[in-house]
Amino acid sequence: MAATTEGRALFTRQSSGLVREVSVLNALFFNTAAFIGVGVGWYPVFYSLAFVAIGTAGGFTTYGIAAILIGLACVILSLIFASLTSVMPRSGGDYVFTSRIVPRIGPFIGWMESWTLAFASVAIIAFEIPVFVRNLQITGRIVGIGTNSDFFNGANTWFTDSSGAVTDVPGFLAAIVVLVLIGIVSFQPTRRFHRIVTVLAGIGLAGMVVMFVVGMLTITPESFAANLPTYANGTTVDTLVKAGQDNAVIGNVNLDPALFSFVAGIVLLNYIGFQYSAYISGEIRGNVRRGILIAVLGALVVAVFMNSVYTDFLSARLGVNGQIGWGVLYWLGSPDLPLGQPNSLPLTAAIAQPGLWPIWTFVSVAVTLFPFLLCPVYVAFLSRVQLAWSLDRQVPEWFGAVSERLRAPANAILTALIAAGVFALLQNFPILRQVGLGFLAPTDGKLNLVATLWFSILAAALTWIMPGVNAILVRWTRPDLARDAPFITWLPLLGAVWVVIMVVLYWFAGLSPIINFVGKLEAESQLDYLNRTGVSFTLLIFAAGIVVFLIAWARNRARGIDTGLMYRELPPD
Amino acid sequence: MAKPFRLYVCSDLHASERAWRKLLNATRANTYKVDAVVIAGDLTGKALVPVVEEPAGTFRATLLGTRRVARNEAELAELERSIADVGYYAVRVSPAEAARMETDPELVSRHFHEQITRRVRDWMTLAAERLEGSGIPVYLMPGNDDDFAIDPVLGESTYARNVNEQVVDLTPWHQLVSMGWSSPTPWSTPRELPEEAFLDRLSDLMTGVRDARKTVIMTHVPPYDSGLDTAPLLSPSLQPTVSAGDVLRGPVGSTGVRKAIESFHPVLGVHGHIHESGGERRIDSTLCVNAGSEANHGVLRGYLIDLTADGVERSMRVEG
Repeated sequence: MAATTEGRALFTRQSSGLVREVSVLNALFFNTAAFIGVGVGWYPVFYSLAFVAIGTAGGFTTYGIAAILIGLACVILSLIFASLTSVMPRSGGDYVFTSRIVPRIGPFIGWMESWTLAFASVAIIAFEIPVFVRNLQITGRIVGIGTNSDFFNGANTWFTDSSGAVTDVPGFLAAIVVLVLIGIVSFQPTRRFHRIVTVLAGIGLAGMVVMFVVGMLTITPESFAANLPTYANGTTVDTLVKAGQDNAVIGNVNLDPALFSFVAGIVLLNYIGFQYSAYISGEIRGNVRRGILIAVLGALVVAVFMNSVYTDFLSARLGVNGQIGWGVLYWLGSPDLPLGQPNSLPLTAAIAQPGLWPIWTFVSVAVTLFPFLLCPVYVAFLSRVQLAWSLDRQVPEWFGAVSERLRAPANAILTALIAAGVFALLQNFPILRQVGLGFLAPTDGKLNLVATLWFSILAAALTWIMPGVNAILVRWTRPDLARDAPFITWLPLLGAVWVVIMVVLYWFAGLSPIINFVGKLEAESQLDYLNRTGVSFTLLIFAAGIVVFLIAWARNRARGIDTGLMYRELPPD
Repeated sequence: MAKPFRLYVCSDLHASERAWRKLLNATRANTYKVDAVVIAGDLTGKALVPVVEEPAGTFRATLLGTRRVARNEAELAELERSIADVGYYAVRVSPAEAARMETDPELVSRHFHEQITRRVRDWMTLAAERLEGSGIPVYLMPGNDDDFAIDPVLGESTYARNVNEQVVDLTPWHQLVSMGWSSPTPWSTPRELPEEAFLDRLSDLMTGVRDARKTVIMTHVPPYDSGLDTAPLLSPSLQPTVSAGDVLRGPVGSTGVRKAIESFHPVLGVHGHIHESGGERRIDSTLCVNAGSEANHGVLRGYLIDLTADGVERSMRVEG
């Protein structure tokens, strides 16, 4: 059949109507807030996180090129989500798709997929908390540059221990304050919650626009190089470049999958969240397919722009190699770190153009807001996943009970906050060592940020891969639902291409380095390597997921509940 | 101890052919191992799609934003089935009639009337064909969206039984009291009653039961402020009320149902009406369930309720 028509296509009668609640704009903001995090200021810091050579070609760095290529690939994911959500428009996203589409083991795979994603997300929240605190310090340093105030020049001592790190009691207290603030926002009634998210996201995006426009107009590599020694205790751009060269992080653009996949993996980490409106698709009003496509593709366009044009062009105004070297010093925890802070864009802009410090302060506040904003948005998304678990009896029913006041699953929200609090504890105190699990957190017994990030990337593997698998299978395993799905003819092909991209990426950036112990220190045992990089912790979470699934299965069986009935396909013909 | 009596409850199928056929097939194959099926109202659809016959003998229609053309009988049947699957009614018309429908509400109304009664009749016939001999009774009732025109059709049904405003024996221990009317809605739908009148009728029915505490009460509209009745609040122009970029939500259920449950303490409340507010809640000792509805997406949502002489032994949400 093909197509053409004119005139009115639908007549409706007077009847009560189903009205969904989340607008496309809400969903777009939800996705944007879910992925940006520290990006408005910190994307240049991520150039060097993978510790592979970053080069520049045609005005874009290897990172920017990865952002564009991964962005193009993510269009496939967007189409898959738009198709699946239009025939299964409900809260819970991937968990619902996988548990219903994959035959027999679908509920287990769906559970593991969402369980590991939940912990990856909680780890990201835990990562964002010290980053939020760090951004308060950076904002103080910017004001200090502008006003020469001793109080603000000493901002590095805010929330830090004697070594200058955001850890121990000061770090934990700061984390608790941030968690309480997140809790206050998360426990608002839905209307007020969305209002807060919208206002904060608006300020954050305004900061991004101001940073890009004013930065491109006023910053030059020369002004940055000339002023850096004044504010960074004599450190020069050449010193930064040398740090990058010494660690082989400055080089040429290299698209060899064995190296490029590492950079692409970092980009994926920074993109995660652009698709999260699919998890609340049960609440999106209007044409779900169109709404999801606009929200997901819109957020993807913002993500690609910010990780490529925004980051690379602004970094070029500061000198790309110097930015790479500064990032290296940050990730290595070097005592030579300029100003004791990472190269957040408003901070480097304040060095280049100190007279514009009020503008950079505003941008830094915006940079500070986004990591904070990400947390309640994640909590909201996690609570919807937990609600779906609860409805399917993967966890006790009380877990997903909806609060009358909030109209949201309060217990699930509280659980996500407590889990983030536990991560904050483990990051700030050597508790793991004290309970005999110190091997999970060498060298000081605390979870470190790099390990947390690798944990997040590894733990999110299923959530990146399974949409492709679902797209391949749905036509055959759920023909009753897929028959009228958009792009149904192309869905298996889209799924196959996406799976190949993700498997290649995860092989080169995840499994192969682990198997080959890439980056292992000479004096380090293989086990310590796995522990330091967060691999052991990831395996532990996988094992915990299996145990919880089995407990839930046994509990349901004891109560006479056959959960297999919940997912059973009912043939219509 | 006697084996529990298992109910399958669902609601708001809204003319979705796919959901109805899933229900019948699941019942015939006894997928859920149920002893009875209960459908809590709103059987009919809300939208009509003109399938326009063109001079070349082809048919065209637009379904969910996708324009489709059928070039032969097989494609036409497939197109009409797709329209029926999402709960819409396909009506074959000439270009001239399609144009007339845009300006003639009476004509549209006549088409609705014809299509609604035909779909319900077809459904009842199919139910008899598929379920005769299965031993699983199907109890149903119209909801507030269902025109009175379907009542005679339901009355002719030989298998599925319309139990609206009746008291029937449901399980060895429980009776079923049904009330398809709803409290007033902003849309002024066919079956609405003021809350006081609604409560009076329901209370009259309850006085006829053997034991109120061993009663299953089926009302299309859920109890007020139960969490099963949360929906966007509408302005007088029937638009969602928006404040600060967010839609205001609130309880839209029936205070009459709530009062009846709090007064009579039935063992189970079966409800529907608010598609997006599915779930289960307790009001005092009464378990209330609203299966919600995704019938228009071809998904059949329901609840399995195991009843014993002592009450509800277990409940479980299912979908297929």
